[in-house]
Amino acid sequence: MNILVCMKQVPDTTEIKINPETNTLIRAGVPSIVNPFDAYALELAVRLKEKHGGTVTVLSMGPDQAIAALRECLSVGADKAVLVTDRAFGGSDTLATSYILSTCVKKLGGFDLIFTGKQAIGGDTGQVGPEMAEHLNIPQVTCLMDVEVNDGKLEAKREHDKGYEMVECSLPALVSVIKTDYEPRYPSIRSKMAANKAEITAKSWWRS
Amino acid sequence: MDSYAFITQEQRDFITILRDILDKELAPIITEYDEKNEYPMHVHRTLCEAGFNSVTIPNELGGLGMDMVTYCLIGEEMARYDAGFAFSFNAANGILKAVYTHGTDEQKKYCTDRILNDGAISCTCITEAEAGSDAAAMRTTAVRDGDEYVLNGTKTFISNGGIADMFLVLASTDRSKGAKGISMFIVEKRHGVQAGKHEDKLGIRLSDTSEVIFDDVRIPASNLIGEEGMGFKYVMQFLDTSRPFTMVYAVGLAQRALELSIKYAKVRKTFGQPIIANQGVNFMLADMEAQIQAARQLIFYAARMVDAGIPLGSLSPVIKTFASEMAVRVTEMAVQIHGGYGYCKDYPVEKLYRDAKIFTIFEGTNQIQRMVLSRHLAKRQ
Repeated sequence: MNILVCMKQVPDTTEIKINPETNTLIRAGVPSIVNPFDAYALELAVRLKEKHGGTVTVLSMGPDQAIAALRECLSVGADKAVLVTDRAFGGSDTLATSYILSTCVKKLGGFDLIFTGKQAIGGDTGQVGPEMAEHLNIPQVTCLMDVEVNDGKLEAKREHDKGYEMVECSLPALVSVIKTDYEPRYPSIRSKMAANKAEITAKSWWRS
Repeated sequence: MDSYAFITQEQRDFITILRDILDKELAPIITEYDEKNEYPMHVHRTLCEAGFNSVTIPNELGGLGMDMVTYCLIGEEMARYDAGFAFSFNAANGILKAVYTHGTDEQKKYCTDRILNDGAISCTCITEAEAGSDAAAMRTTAVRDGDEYVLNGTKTFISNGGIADMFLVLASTDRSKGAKGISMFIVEKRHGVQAGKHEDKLGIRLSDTSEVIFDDVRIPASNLIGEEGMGFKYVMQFLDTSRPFTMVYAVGLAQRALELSIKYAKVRKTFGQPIIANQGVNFMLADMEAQIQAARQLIFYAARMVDAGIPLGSLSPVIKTFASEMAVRVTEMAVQIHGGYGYCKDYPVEKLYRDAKIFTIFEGTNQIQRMVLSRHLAKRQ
């Protein structure tokens, strides 16, 4: 099974500063982390891969420094990492971001399942995942707690205000993940070394 | 880690992984395990999964094959959280040092496999009630019987003794020869091997210290390491090169004491100003930093010597005495800076003060170390 995980590099929430003129986050000098919900999504994706085989690819849109976050993902179970980057992407809102990411998904091709975090900390919109599903015209399940794939069908446990519900849908599909019971694993010294050496190509399909 | 100028990006990454694990797994339970006087085995397992027990194991045996400098950086960082844990975590690999220097290829493979793949914990059994550094007084015996040795005796103050699966044991094969009749064995935990009294210590209470009793334990003759009668010499050799690096835990705990003291001295106010503004306090901080830095650089210098294959000579006892006494002085100053609060268990410096003292005692008391050091000096022209 080929799985894609969309990951955003976010500033550590404890260190956030905002530029008063542009009202955007000041990223320079602020430690960056993998968006926590994306980390949970990745853990769920890697567990699914370990059970069913296949690959996990991590896709991120952002500046070059996001490569560090992609390497972090590689050290905790992802097989491939792709960065899509372009000056023109600066200041993208959720519609633009979801359009760019879904275009990348089409270019990369061949994914059975796409994982996103429920939302990115900082922006907290929770829109990019659902919008991507619409751009791609595939089913989506949001607020996922747990997931299983049986006979080519997705069985999802999704959280809502009164508890949870079980949802079934066909593949390919997109799911967005909340904080689950599966704590993201720790990297090992070996996986960290391998991730540091891995080749990550930054792409700019926008211009090609 | 910013206190060692030659740190590589790779080493920084290891420290980041280590901090990530220890912040979540160890830091929240230290007080609880200090009270319980128990080694947190689940943290041990998590660190092993991440590869921290294979750092210095050679590549060809399945380890990471890294140098002594990396080992020291990791050790100091681990001890910043808890020196007793760091010490026990490392001692769990203790059998390997002896086997790598004096064992056969089969013994090397066997012990490495037990530790890396079975998750076995080892310990080193030298000390007895009446024999520490005075090896000739050793009473544990190993009597040859056909293809086996029969082991009898009691070892005391054995780090990891209560939790170990395999034991590196010094026993006399010929009591008439004193220290020259002592041999070294690999002993698995099986019938006849038993943990005795679990010591209730002042400090490093996350580290298990227990009595180990051998009662007619039969071990294959092939478990003898090297030659009969050479055991004590082997131990002295590997302790000489490992002892200085055990002192990196003293540096780690002292570093933590300093960090806590600076933080406290900035927020604690008397007479309308933080106490760090008082020279009586900030000179103590300055002395702490100077002494920690000195000890750390000694150890990293020695690590680079070991990596370059240069014998440590007199540097081994120099580091043992200097770093251990530094830790006692520095943690005492940390308690002093914290005042009455520092004397209470609510503040972590109380524990650091308790943890520091063992470093002047174990791995050969500082008095024995001075004896060894003065012998080095007497040999000089």
